[in-house]
Amino acid sequence: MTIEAEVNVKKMFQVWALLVTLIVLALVTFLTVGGAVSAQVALTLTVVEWVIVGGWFMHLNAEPKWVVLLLGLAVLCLVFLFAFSYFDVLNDTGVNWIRFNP
Amino acid sequence: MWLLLSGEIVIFGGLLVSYMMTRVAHPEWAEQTHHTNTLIGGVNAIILLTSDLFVVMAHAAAQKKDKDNAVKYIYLTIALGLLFLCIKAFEWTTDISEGFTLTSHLFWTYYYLTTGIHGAHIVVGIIALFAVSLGVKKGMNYQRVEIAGIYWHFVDMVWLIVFPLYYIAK
Repeated sequence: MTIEAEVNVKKMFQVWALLVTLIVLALVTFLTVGGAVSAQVALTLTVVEWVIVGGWFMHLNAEPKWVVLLLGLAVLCLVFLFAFSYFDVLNDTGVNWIRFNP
Repeated sequence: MWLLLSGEIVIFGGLLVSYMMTRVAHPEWAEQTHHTNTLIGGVNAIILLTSDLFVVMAHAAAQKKDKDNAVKYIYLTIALGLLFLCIKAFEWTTDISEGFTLTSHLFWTYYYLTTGIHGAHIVVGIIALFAVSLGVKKGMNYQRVEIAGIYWHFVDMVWLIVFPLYYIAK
């Protein structure tokens, strides 16, 4: 179930304009600076965009707490899944395997 | 819907995090990543964000039981979803014609898999929105606009991370 939050169209236009500005900013950084810096800037901007889309468009900021907890739990499962294998992946060899280099 | 999305987080998250881990372990992939078209990725991000706005406006119209505007904005959302798919098809065609296929390098396997699964979600979203529009046209099930909209926003959020990972982090 979702709660019926009143949509403020004017505010949503402002949110959309902000999101487009962030995408353009990521593109401009890529074209002017490039390299690892532009990747870091773009990934940081993505986190900001997620918060904005999740909070305003998906109105997570007005949903019951269990919805946020449910989505947070999914992210936590993902973190655990990869945290345990991360250091193995960075190795060239393991107990029964060697890294495949395409 | 929220339960479905929590499952989707693990599906897309698994794919994207495994790509990130493999990418970190293979700096030499930069040779391959240089061939993705950043401008097309950015344009597609803006198209999806605009479709997000339209689906929000469809929701606002549905709240007022304004079925004409609700259907109009749903159709605009669908149109932008189709435009996204057309641009994606053009991009894929260009990549394949240049010799970058699913099996040419592990980077391209990840690329086609990620963008392909995302594209499939766009198709599902378009079908869902169209099905919702049929009910709204008859003045029924207005609440479904919001539910389909939440799914659509999620699909857009996925593109917002695919864009920097595959098009900017070169």
